[in-house]
Amino acid sequence: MSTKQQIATKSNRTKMTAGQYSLTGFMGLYAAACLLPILLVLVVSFSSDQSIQQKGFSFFPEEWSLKAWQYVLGYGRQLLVSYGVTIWITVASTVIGLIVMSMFSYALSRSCFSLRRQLSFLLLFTMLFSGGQLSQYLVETTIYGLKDSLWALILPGVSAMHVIIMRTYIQGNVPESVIESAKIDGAREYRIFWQIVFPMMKPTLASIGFMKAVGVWNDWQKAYLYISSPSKTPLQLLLIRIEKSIEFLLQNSEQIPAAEYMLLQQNMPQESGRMAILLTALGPIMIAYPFFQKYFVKGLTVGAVKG
Amino acid sequence: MKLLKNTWKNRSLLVMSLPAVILLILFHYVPMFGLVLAFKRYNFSLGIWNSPWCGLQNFKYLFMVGNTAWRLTRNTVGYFLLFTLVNTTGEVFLAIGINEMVCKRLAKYFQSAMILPTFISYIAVSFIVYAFLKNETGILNRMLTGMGFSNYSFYLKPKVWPAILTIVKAWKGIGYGSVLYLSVLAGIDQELYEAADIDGAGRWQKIRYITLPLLVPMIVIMTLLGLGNIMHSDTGLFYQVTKNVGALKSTTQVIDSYVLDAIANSTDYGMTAAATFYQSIVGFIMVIGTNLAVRRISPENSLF
Repeated sequence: MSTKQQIATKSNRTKMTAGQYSLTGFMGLYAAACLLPILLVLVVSFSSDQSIQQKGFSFFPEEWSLKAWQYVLGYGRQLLVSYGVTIWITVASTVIGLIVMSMFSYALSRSCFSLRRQLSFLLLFTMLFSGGQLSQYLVETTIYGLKDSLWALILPGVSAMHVIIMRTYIQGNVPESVIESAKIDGAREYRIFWQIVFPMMKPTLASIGFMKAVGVWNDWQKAYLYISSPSKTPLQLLLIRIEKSIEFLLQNSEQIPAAEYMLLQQNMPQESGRMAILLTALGPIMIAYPFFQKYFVKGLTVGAVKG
Repeated sequence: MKLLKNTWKNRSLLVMSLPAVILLILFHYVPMFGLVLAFKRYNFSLGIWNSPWCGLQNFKYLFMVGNTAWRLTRNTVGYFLLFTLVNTTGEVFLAIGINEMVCKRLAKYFQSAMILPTFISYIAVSFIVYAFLKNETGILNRMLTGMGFSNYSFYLKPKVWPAILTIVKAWKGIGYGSVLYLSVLAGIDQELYEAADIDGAGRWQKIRYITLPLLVPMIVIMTLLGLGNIMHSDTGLFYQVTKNVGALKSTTQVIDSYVLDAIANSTDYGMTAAATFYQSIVGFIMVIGTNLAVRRISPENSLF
């Protein structure tokens, strides 16, 4: 019997290898297709603009060049300011959001707290109905005065989905007995939360924090509508501005005196320069991503099991 | 009275909830009242509350004049259905593929690569798409002219954009979406496969008769929950990737990008308000409906 089974599994395995090879090959191709466009950005940022002009965008440029990166360094001040702005709003929004939401989720997880039913409803209703982009924009700019204020990008930080994920995590991973015994020892709710529950929430805080941070880092829409002064321009908006000014110059090239146009064109980022700036905006996420992968894969799964 | 007593006893929990409650009220509840704008003629100097009422006039413009409402609805709902179909299929395929791979280390690396596009901003995506589709120098146009075809002006041809946007959306979302299905696969009882082995089932039969049926509940739930968002779209995809080019709007403009465009250019808030009102109401009905459906199938996955 056992030899028969061995033969069976063996034949199964040899039959598998052909299938395995093609499966691995196919998955590998797809993985490559996911990475190649990002690689293209990297390659173009190191290509010379003449070869892009003549040969077009290519993974194999005729001529390599560091000019784009020199351009990025020369762009200097505004890029640095935008980097600072993006880092500030990302950190502030993530930290504030995590603290506010975790405290709320803790309160909602406590079964002795009767008001939690009403508060849960207050939270869940935001998933059903929203005022929409326009009224949000008008309320925030005309009533709260958040036009051209970074707080518009930092503050609106309560996501019902995230609170539910955190609450579910607390209910599943922090035993009631731990909280009860701390209470018997005389600890008050604040202490129980900060010293016991908050540290135990580390995995879910990491996954939600990473999601939130990426969301803020990549967000362009809010900045596009609210922010006008250069000193408050985050990276994504800077990219939009650069793109827009190039389009503007190209469309109005006839109206600008030739000599001036030449000068402008020299200072204008060419294709490679734009890709280099883009890469500086993408970089931090690509670097942080591998460290957070295990957390957000886990966090996502936890959230999906019970909404 | 009992509630008040309990709340007083747990006042520290109430205090801990307060920051979130204040943010919810300021940024979610107050804007809900802003929807009254749909029934008003907005005047910049008078503000939201003091602008004069105008009845259903805004809706009349939106639905009766031209085909704006029809075009926006068709695009919004159409893309939603297309993306759901393509991405769900892709996610299930990918999850099964990764799960079946024998070399787990390699599978992990592949998965990391597949998830990466999710974290790239749409601004970056629009730059990349442009590098592929640009006139003359774009990669696709190079290939076309290299094969003897003439240059194709992608940014002037609305017809091809549903395909382009679907590819971009799939590229960005499938890898990440498959993680969820992979977690379901990890939870499948291995004895089922062992029993199938004894019965002489092959790899394909096991996928067909064990794996897929066990994935169906999650597929149904995710699709239904997604339907609640049918009126909302990825603004970045429709506004940035298309570069908001006028020539493409007939096939690429959705409600969200229409509203964004209107705010950015400060034009015609009345009709825009009517559009967001329409969006909110239909969205509300869809969320309620789909959640009732989900609750019947699997109560632990419903929102309420």
